[in-house]
Amino acid sequence: MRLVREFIKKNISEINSNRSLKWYGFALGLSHLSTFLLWSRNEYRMMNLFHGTERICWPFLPNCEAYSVSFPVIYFILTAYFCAAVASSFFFIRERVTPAYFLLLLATGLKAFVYLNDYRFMGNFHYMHYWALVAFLFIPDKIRTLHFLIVFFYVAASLLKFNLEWLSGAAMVRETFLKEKWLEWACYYVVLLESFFVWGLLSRKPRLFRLTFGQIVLFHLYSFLVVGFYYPSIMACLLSILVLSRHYKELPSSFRGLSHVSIIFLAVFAILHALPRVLSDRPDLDGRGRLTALNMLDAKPQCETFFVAKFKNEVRELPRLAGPLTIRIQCDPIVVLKEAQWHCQKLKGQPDFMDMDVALVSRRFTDESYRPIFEFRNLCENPRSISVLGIIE
Amino acid sequence: MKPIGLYMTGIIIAIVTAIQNPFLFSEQVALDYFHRFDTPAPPVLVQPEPAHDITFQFRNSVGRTGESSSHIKFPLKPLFSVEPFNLAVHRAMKSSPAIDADGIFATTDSGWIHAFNFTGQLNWSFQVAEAREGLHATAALDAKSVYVGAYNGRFYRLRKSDGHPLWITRLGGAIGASAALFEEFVYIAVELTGRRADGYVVALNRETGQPIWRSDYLGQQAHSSTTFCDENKVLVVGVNNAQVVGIERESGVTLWRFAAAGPVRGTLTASGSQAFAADGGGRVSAVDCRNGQLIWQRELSAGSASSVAYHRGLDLVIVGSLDGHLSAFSGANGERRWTVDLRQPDYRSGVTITGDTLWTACRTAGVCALSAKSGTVIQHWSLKGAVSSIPTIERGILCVTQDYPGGLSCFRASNEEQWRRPADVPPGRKDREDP
Repeated sequence: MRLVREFIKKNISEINSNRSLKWYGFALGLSHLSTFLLWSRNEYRMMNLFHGTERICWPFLPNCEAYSVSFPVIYFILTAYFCAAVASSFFFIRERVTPAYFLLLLATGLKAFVYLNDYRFMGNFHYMHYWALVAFLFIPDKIRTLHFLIVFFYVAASLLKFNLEWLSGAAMVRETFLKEKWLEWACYYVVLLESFFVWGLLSRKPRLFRLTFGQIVLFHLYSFLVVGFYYPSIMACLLSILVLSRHYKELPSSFRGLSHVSIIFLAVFAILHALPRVLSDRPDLDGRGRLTALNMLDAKPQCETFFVAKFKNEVRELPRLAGPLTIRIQCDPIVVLKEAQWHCQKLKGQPDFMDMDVALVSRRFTDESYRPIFEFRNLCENPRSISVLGIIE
Repeated sequence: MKPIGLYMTGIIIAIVTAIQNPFLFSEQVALDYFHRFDTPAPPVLVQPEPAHDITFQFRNSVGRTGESSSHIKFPLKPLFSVEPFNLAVHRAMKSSPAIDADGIFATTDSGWIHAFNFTGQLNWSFQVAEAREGLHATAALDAKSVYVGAYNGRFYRLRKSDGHPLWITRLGGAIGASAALFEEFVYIAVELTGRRADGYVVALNRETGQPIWRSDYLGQQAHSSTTFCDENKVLVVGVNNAQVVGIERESGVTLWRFAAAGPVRGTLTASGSQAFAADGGGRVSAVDCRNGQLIWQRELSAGSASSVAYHRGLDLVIVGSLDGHLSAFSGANGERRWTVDLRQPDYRSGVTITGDTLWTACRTAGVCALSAKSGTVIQHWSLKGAVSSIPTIERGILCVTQDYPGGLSCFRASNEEQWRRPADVPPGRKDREDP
């Protein structure tokens, strides 16, 4: 316990000694407010998710129905989340770092509680948000770690974009003023920006930094038109450390000699991004290991789900049940399998019901053909489980 | 890293990235291509079951002449009726019942495939998912399976005995056309319903559901079913963009395109190397299947959306138009033989031929029997709902599906006397005993 106290104290003291980190704490508080806004704007969706008991559990939290909460409770939690985020930002401005730190920790915990209630909350913006929050709250050498983490975000995202799905513009979820060849060239430029130019964010030369940062800002302004307010607002908060540290002249003189903990932290990030590639050649379709990494607009999957319920003298193909889903998870095998299990539960008591077969085929929008993802016969009799890494067994 | 190293890395990244998008340096816009791109998916839930002898298909043969191998004698008496059946969720013509020795297999626009025995008892049902406009395709049958496509873009092979799937495959956005069974293959016109309405024809292996070929894009959706002509070497299909497309059956290669006067929504019929098409512009055309050349063309009293029939014995091309007129032309030269007013507004049905008798929808909610020689109405039966489907006559039974509130109605000769001419049995069909 003493060790934990010491550890927290150290982190608080590091934040306390840097004006840029105090302001960054304020920005992270705002990022929680942005999350609150996202979730409260989608109240209808939240109600759908939290009314009743039908949950899609995260693979690492099976049987989540047992401890998930109802809509009124989630409403209360969201209110507490809002208050913690506001209070944290307020205390960071007033430079009362200790309460601000714990309030930010509380807000992060509350967000995680809501987030882990249902797999359908999955989203890159949350994924990056958590990594930045962990770096800020628990990792030493925060300014340099956050710099590297931000560059790693972009590089990791760029690795998902070396394909026709991104480069053709097909992965865009909404149409904008950039069309046809302009769109293709813009997508091409984004890959170069994220994989190569982005390293300019680590430059100590103001001109190179400004040039790179300006491009990143333009990219996020444009992303507003494609994905809405939440992602750019989160990124605005996360990127603020780049400007704050330079503004307050608190950027360390060199990026060399990073602390061991920071190196391990960044290495874990990198390994987790390699994992889906090790487990599958198409994690965007079969979902293997996809949980551990960014999956930012990696594909616009198209899929066909087949739920074939067999009765004594009748066969029924059943519809999907999960309601409106984001593009990232609309063809996710975890979601489809869960829907099949819901069907099984509903049909179990019906007279003459025998069993159900289920199959999923998917492709990227730009793939030549569909590929079989899974096919299970008599699923209700022989239920399947999902491993921690999201692999259906 | 030194600046030169950084530059080199950047150049390598730029080249590797550019290679990923072959459209980048071409004039073609990648998204333009992909928004119309679609492809059949591999079949799922495949059960081992070989392809069996073909026992029924839409318009009675791959030539889609509408000539039935069965005959039916007057007077008719009702056999059974199932009501309601179709719900009229879509204006397109409804499916016809498929009949063979194992029973009556009928599809509905509310998404059901029903199997009845010959007393009208329901043997089994299959409900398709997420097909807002249900099924409008007529089922094709072999000795053990039912083949049919739905408006959800999926094509089904079901076991005839219990309706369980032998395979299911997603072929495109929607399927309104009926399948053609030939040898070990099944041929289907598929519609694409995305940003660009388009379509193609797909050939599948009947046993496994695996795609054999996919034709070029047709240019618009195809509601018309595929018709075989020129000794089954060519298949022709009508398209909503006022074209008839000729496709090589073995390879799926487009051989020719014929420009009609309007959308070709009905199924064509074929005789030898000629195909006959009726279009929404109000013309009926005879086209040479080998090269797509026009042989003759005649005007109808209005546009047509119905399937054309061909009476081999009388060399008659019989076609209906949307104003309710039915006309017969000489197959050889297009000379008009007769025209009759069926008093059926929005006529979309077609003609089934038994001997010298034609059977079709008439008088808003009814079925008429006409003389093939003169077009005179011989008999008329009133039904509950409008008929946009084509009556099926097989094994001495006449069945017809109607729009809401009508149902599926079946009749047979009141003296139960049926007869058939073995010479009328299309090649490749196994002759079976009447029920």
